Amino acid sequence: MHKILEFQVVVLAAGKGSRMPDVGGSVSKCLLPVGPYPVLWYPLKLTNNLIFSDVMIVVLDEDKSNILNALEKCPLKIKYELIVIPSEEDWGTANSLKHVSARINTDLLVISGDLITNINLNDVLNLHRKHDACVTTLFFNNGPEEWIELPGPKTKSKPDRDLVCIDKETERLVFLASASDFEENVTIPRLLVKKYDALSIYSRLLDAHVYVMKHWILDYIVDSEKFTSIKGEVVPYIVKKQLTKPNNLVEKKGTSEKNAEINKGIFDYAIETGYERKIREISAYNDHKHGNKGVYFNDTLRCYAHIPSKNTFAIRVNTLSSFYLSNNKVLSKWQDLTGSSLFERFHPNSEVKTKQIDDNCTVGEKTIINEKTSVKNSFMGSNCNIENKVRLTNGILMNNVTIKESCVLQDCVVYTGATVGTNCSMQYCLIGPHHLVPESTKSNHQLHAETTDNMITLG
Amino acid sequence: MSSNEIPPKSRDEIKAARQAKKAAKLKVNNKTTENPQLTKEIENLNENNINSKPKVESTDEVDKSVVINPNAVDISTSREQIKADRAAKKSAKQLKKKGAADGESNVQSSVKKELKEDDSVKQNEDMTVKDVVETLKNIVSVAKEVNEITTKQEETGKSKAELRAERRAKQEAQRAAKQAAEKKVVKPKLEAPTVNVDVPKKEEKVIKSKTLEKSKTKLQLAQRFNWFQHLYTEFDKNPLKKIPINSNLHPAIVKLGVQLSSRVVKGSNARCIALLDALNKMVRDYVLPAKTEFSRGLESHLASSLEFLWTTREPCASQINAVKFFRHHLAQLPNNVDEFDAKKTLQEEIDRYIREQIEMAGEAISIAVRNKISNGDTILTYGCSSLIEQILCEAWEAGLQFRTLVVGSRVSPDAAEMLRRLCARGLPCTYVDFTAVNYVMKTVSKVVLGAGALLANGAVVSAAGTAGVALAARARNRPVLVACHTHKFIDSLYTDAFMHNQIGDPDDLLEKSDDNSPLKDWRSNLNLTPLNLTYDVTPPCLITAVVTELAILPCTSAPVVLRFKLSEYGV
Repeated sequence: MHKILEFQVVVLAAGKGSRMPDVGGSVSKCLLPVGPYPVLWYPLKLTNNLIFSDVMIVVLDEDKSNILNALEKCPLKIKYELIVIPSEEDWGTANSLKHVSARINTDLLVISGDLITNINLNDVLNLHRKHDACVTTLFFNNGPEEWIELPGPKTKSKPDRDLVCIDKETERLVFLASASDFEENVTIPRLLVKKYDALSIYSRLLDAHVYVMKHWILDYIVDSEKFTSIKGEVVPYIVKKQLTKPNNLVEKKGTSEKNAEINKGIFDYAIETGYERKIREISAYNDHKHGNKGVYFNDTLRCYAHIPSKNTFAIRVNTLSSFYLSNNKVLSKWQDLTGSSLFERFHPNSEVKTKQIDDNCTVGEKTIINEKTSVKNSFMGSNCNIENKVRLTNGILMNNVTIKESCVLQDCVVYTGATVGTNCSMQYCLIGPHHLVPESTKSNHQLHAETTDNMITLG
Repeated sequence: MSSNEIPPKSRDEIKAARQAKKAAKLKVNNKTTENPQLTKEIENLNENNINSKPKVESTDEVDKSVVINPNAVDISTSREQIKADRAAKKSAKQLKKKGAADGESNVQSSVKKELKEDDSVKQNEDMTVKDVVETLKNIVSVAKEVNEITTKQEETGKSKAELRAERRAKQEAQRAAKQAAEKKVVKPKLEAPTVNVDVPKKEEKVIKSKTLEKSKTKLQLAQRFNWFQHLYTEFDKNPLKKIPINSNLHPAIVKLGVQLSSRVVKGSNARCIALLDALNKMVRDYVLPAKTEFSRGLESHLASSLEFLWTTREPCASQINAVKFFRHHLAQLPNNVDEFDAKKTLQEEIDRYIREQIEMAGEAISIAVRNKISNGDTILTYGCSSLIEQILCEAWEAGLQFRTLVVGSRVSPDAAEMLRRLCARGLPCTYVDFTAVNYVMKTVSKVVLGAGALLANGAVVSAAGTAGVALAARARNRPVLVACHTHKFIDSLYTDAFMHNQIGDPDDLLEKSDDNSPLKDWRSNLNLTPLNLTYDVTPPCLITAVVTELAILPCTSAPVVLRFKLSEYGV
């Protein structure tokens, strides 16, 4: 039977990882390994739980083949479709949406390609359905990120923070801005305080970059040229516009028809076709207690934000620390995340000759781990070669890594194709893609990468 | 312990009191611990035929209950005694039954027991009958003070250690009972709980909850109101968590399901329109599979959609009628109808239904009621009804000068919403709580009520509390008008709110703003069962007239309207 789709899913996986440390060469964010699979697999798995039939994945041109290869090896039941955007132009998320807009004819669910979580997406969707919202977002309130010692040079990066204002009872999202927009004072519209008697302002929420949107918002994004980023521009704009409805109505009456076409505001897109307004009027429901306004304060635009309970697991792999942390935790949360236990920690085509490898390791395809090595808490990609007498602790090795004899690596991230020479001893180091670390290097908290010099030492 | 039972005569009174108290306790014990005793005995017997200590105690308890029997028969006064007697006999019987299975060894025990009984009877003959009677009467009348009596007795009679031992024995017995004989737990519960019994029962339950961590499902089952077991549905948000996205259901249907279950769409008119609107969208987007008749294809689609919707919330009368109407028109489509035409017809019919049955009918009712309102009236209404709101607002805009009294209950915010809407239109309003309805009734000139459904016998199903308001009005002899569209008439018949009703969210009964509410953790209290019924039934004798779009009718004309509609709409 022909299905009428309720939501179409767009996974945005064209991020370049601008918040990750620059290790030289290109590393696509969505292919970073987390446990045995790339990051992108996790949002796809999340949607897989809801039996989405087809998912659109927006990827960069240059990554397409890599991603296709990587996803083929992962266990996934959904049909997905890669949509390519040019790598050279620096497209924002809204641009990407514009790019796929022609293929979307229902409401859409936008998921960021670097989200790892165990939440049931139905909670978000039900909130969206319940209030017939135009945008519903998802935030996590899991407290500050755990501190762990990171590999690579020490940096003092300040995470971006958002100021999020949510009405506690109804979960309505009423204010959203980036904390960096404010220097000392934050001005919150007086109308908000007037409307809601219990607003909570959060500054440490983790934005999951999950958006449930009405279809007309996409139309609006396409028609108005001014947006480039969903998170930075579109959503704050709509959230802000929730308040300005009455003005707009007056304006609309006041302006003559000649202006109407040029100046098509967001409210002209938010048109309800059926009896929605009448139903809202006669239903005995109201979402607020005080004042004499009708349900939802008669607002046509309604944004909601779902905050799941504190014990949900959520990480966005967009910084080095979250990347490292997610690898640290993924195996312990595996059951939660995927709903099944991990059977093959060692790929059947791999050769693990050592016995000193513990249960917290995964080994990729065609990887060879030679005798007399000791491996703890480490993840190894495919085609790696670990020679004799290597000690590896808390490491992440991507594909095609070679580690020569007698190396000691502790808390290191080794990118694709790198080679570590014999007898190296490294702690908390990053080794960039296709880099060759010379013999007997000893280093601590350093970045080894192919940049302008052969080796850069920072910090 | 049995040695304590035979004190010298000088302590007659104390003894009698103690025994009476034991009788009360034992009744409960016998009911709830019959089985543990049994199982324990069997265990003991299986282990070795020598009686171990717990067994002695349990038989003692049986004996104790028998101890009083002669008195009870002699005096033949209090029911409790007889009951205790019965329970004791029963336990003895069951003992025998079980014993039969186990063989000889049990015969020994039963024989032994009889002997003991004989002994105790003899001992009891010594007692003065009068004292016992007096104390028993005391206890029956002052059932609530049993606890105090126990404390007194603790002081005078038993040592604390003894009491503790007793209690422990009880607990152990209960534990065994739960493991061994879950089935039979129901049986003892059914036996009538007299006032006297209740108090010790509670004590026991508290002990239970402390000592044993029951499985959660059991807890929940226990916290369902017995009379309304049939109304509890597993509609709690679980089905919504499992909605497969992009399934065969139309998005509008899924959305409506969520809104119905979260009560965003409530009120019978709103639910009806929302349903029709969703059906309208479903028809619009329906794609006919190949080689299928339109009506049949859509019918199966409709059936699955409705099945989903009704799991989110039971349909109300207006929804049932709307579906009947829709099915009627669907069935009437010719076999070889074009898909486009069929959709157009159905959509037009839906629009027509909303326009005629709800909107125009609403206007007609509004005019009819307006004619009954005169200047200077005070109109009382209860809860929130879109129709009443329309009536009052239009009457006000027509220039009538009247005052509105909105009555609401603490449980539902509906009345406050009604008040808000009326105030927003500038009507002079007063809000009173349901508890004050009797007091304000004397100032009221007319009562206008909304309805959820009108039954064939003329009874009105409406928000819980309506019947109370109607009753108060009748007591003061005020006219009660029920405004009701004819699309809410339904040909089912029931006279009370027990048979058909809906259980609302029990948490609504709590004061949410109060963090220290004593009801806050009711789920952990087994003896507390909040019951939040959604509807009640107002009998026709309390209603002066029903205002429909056809005419102002007496309630008893409901069958006539039903027949009329049958012919008109094929509903």
